[in-house]
Amino acid sequence: MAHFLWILRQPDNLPIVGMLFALVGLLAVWLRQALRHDRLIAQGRAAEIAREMRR
Amino acid sequence: MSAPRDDETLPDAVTTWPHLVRIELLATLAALSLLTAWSILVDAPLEEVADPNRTPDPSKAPWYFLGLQELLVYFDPWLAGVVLPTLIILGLMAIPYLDRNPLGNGYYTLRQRPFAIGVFLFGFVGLWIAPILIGVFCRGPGWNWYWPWEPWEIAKSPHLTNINLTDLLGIPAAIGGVLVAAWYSLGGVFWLWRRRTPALAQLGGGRYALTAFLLLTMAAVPLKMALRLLLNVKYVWVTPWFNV
Amino acid sequence: MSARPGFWRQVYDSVFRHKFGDTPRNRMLQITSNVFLHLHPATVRRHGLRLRYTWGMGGLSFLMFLVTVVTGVVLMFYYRPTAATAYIDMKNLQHEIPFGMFQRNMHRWGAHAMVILVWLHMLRVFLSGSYKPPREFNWGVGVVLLTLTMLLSFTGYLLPWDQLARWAITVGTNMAAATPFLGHQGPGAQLTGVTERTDVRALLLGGPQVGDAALLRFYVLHCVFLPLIASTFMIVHFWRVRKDGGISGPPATDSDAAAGRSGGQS
Repeated sequence: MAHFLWILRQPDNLPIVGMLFALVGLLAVWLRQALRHDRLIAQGRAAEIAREMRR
Repeated sequence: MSAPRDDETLPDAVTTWPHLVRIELLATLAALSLLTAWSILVDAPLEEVADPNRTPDPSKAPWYFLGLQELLVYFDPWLAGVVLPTLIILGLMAIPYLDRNPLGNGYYTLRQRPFAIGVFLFGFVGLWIAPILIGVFCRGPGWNWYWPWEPWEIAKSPHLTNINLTDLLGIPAAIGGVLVAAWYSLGGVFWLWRRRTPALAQLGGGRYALTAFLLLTMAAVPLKMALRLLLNVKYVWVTPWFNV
Repeated sequence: MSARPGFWRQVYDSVFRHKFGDTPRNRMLQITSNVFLHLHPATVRRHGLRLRYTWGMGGLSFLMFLVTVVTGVVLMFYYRPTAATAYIDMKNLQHEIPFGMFQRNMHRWGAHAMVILVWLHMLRVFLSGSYKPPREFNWGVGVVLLTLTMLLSFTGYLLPWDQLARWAITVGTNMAAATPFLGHQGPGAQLTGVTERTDVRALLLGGPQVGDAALLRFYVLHCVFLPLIASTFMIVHFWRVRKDGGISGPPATDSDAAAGRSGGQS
């Protein structure tokens, strides 16, 4: 465990950790919207997507 | 399946000034604040002066190339360092010309383009980011496998007894080329089997061939990794001039 | 004709060719009469403003490029690219020069941030399908910019001339030695007769080893050559965003959707 934290603390490795958080967060943002849009399309409410994007 | 429609009755255009410019200003301030805070708190590394006689162990490439360095375990340098990166770049550039699906253009969706998204995430997260993480956290001296919690002071010896696939199967070395050809011919088999489906029919032979080649190459990477890790297979195809 | 304008009035009017009040005309002129801002069109479509859609990654990547350029120029005042002086200059920068460490940090973390942001930008463009017609070419330009970003980062990595730099670049350039036909350790090297001194790795390093020639070469690549090329491609990239119809968006009609034409015509 101590060694894992040592690797993590190396200055050049911190951006990688930051990237992981950003990647997971952004994929979550994408997935939420994608699933919502898919639901709207399946319900025939596709036009609402465009309207939402222009709010 | 339909695509979302743009409702023209709603007013849509806004002036760049101030709407876009304001967002840009706020984003700039936020990003610069973060960067400044980070630059105050964390110092860039500076190790001892470069010494041509002392090679650090492990000797790691910059982190954004660690994915390729990890591939060096499974492929020879000309493949891992030259051919595969070139294919990545060319393959990425080819995507818009191979993806003929008109849906999903300008909005997020999953069900309208599952193949494209699946392949891209497999490539980006599975074949690019994951090897980088392995290279950062799981590779220690001698490029041996160290679990992230294992200190690098523990001595490990690399597994020296690797075997070629053709030897493992007990067939002549030249047949390795047949194996590689057979792998890529799976693309042809799939074409013969499915060429009448609407997806492949509208794609056409040329685009399909390129897509199949790139996909099979992408899939070959984890396959070769598994062969190496599980069966200690070093090469699939050995020739006097190059090894795959 | 009119009364003589005040001194500062004349100065202001000569610089800014629009009035200050918030009128539609002035909003347009703010953009079109400014050489930097008129990269943007005078009006944009609303969906392009949504951060939940664009994530702001493209703009942030460009911001990081500007940060690295500015901090890089500052660093250039204090750095001499020879094996004898590079490391000493780094120590000097970090310990003697006021804010030297801070400048170096801004540069290095800005560079790392740029690489990550460019990757995330590519991810966003892919997930929103914004590479589909008519934006295929701009995606290709983006891939070139991705490669240039990585090369800029790679060439800069050598400049501190410490153990981390030297050996990371050794690992990287050793892969070049394995290029088929062009590298002295690659397949086909016997056919073309390339040697340790004449192959593509020697071209990169200016010789068979990572030494003074490599440092100078990487310095010029990093500070002049690659930024010029990257700027050129960025100009094309930003121009094409406008010409291809602005930030991509949902199609206008069902027939557009079936034909694969996206919205976002600004």
